[in-house]
Amino acid sequence: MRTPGIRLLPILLAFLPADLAAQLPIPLAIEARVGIAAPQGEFSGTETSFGAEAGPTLGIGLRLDLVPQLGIFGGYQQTNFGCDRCAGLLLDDSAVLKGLEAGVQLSLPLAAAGVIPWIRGSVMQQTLGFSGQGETLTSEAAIGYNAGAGLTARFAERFEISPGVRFISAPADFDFTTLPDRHIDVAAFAIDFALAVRL
Amino acid sequence: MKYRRSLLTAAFLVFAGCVETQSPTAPLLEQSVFTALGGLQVGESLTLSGSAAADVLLGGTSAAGDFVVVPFHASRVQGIDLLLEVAGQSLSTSSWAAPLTSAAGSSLTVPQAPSSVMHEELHRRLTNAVAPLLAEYRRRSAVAPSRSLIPATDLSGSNAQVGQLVELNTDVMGTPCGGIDLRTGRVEAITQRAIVVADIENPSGGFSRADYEAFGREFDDLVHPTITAVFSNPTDIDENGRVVIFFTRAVNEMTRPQDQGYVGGFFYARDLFFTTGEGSCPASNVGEMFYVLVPDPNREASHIPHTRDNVFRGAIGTIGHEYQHLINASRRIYVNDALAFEETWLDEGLSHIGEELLFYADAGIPPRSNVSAADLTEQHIVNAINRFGVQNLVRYGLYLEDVTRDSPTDSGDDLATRGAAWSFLRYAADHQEEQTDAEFFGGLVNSTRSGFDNLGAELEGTPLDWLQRWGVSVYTDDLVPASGDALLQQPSWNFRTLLPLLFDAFPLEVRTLTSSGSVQLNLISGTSGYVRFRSSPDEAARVSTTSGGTTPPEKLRVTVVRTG
Repeated sequence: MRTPGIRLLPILLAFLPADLAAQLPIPLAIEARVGIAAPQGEFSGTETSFGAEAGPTLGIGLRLDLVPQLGIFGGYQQTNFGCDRCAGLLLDDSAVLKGLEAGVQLSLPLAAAGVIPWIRGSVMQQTLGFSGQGETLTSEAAIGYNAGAGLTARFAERFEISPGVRFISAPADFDFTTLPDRHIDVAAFAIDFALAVRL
Repeated sequence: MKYRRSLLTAAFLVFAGCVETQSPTAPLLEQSVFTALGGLQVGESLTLSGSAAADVLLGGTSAAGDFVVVPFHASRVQGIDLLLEVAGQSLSTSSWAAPLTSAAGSSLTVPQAPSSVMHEELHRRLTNAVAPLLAEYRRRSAVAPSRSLIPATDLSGSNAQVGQLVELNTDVMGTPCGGIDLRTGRVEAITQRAIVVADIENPSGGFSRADYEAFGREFDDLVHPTITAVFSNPTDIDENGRVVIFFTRAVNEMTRPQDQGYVGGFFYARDLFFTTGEGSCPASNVGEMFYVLVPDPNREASHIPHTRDNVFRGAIGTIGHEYQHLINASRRIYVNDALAFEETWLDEGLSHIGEELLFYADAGIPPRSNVSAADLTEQHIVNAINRFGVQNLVRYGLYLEDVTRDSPTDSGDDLATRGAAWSFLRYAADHQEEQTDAEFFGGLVNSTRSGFDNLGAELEGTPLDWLQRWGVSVYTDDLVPASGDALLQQPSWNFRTLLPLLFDAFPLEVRTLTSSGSVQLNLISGTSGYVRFRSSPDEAARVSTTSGGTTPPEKLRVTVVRTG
């Protein structure tokens, strides 16, 4: 099942008159991000979890710069944590944290040599999922958060590159139908690199 | 600027397409994920049914884990066995610690002989024999509900006098209302709640009048208040306000030369029917009474000798046991207007609860005290267990020795079934959050229902659910941390320390599973089996259960507990 409201948005947007889209009054950017995330705390332990290992993280989203130093953003992100033990449990070798996020980015007035430092925070609606035996089992959707900092360098007319670090924290509750429920706090540090195109 | 709209659309499509919600998943996938997330912690359990129980994944953490698999045959239908084969993969081969054995010099006294065997056979026979009487009485009293005739007997009203001779029918071999075996007794003591009568033909070396008076006092002070506080008062059809306790060699004489055991005493519901009027029973003694074994050190009444001291110690427990039977039957006839007497397994279980209640009262401790071997340093507890508790402990231990072949609810009579029924009822009572012992056990006595239906009306959940939980607790009680799931504990008794004092070790029949072999179990209805295994570090163990080589049926429930 998918959420109907979310599905409708791109359809409505597709039928937006071109002139109206062009006349959006606020600077808008589309941003793609790739990096690596290293699990932390309980999530990386072997007694209470599968002992998650570092894995790739990626994201894509939109950013609206409300004023030159303040923007809001939203998008999709996914991190595939490694899981060596999963093979012995008839599972694929990764656990996937994914979902939507929305947040605020504050650019600091410390620009030097065309590099702009920033901090950002966001809330996420995430699930943690395991696949195997031809199916996927995910946790209940839950709200987590991201907090990060980085630098942005602009080049050409529309492009930005933004290396950064983030801390990811998201609870994952599994309501099993035949087994005791389980909760785990997903936590990870991520280093990533974003490419943005200003529209 | 058209590309701007296209990019926007593409972006939304990308992340909108990634939103998912949960959908039903296969049980094995759930187990895989559950185990990936750490699986069972020590003291946690999971229960699976039918095909979902075919495969269980466990362990896989960096440390080895100890587990017990408890399959349960969830059926009320007697006479049907459930054959199971349990096999494991990736299990540890490390050895298990030796079981706790008995310490030298146990202070518990093993009962002289398995007296309950014959008693329970007798009780069942007498109950079955008298059952039609109740049906007939109910049918007739529905037409003419008056209890018109209450004939005066020698012991009714205020007729009884100390020293008075009375004739009482002790027959149990003939038909309930036709068999006559009159014995002459002398009233030896009259107390507030009891009339103690002794057969004038009792063997030599028996009780004195002072002994009988002591029985009367202890009945007043211990038995009556303890038993009636939980089970309610008996009726008083003879209007004397008392119970007649007949010490007679007729009880000893029930032991035949080939018998190894003996009857300690009995109650016969025949005596609760009137000799005239609706549903009459001419052979009845018409009164609330029971019959008790007498000392016979010289084997005059049977081939088994009974010293005065042994009988003196055991008689009050027997009386407490019989008192529950008396209360249960008399209230079913005249107070609760039941159509049938209680089923034997539940009636006996309640009477064993009666014995246990006497233990608590005598020891001065409440139920749910988790009585253990450590408590036996207190002499008054030792004395109370030896008087009122040892029989229950032995019966329960016998049940544990052959646990897949006896159920608490068996219609057949044997000691193991009685021990299981007692422990099961105690477990169920101890886990009632909104009912006291008196409300729970009193509810079972004051019912028009019988057996499973009666129990089901008093419990949250089905009796089979409770049998299953109790079956798990048989293994886990006082083994897994008490801070965990309370249903894994039996709050009143620590059998793991007490039973080794009466048996060589904790007598539960437990099978051990390794990767190199499988375990076969044959479960009768309402029973559990016990298979333990150990997982290896960093390797998930898989336990498979089949029945007849195929997926197990829905009536199989498998509970797995991590015990270490």
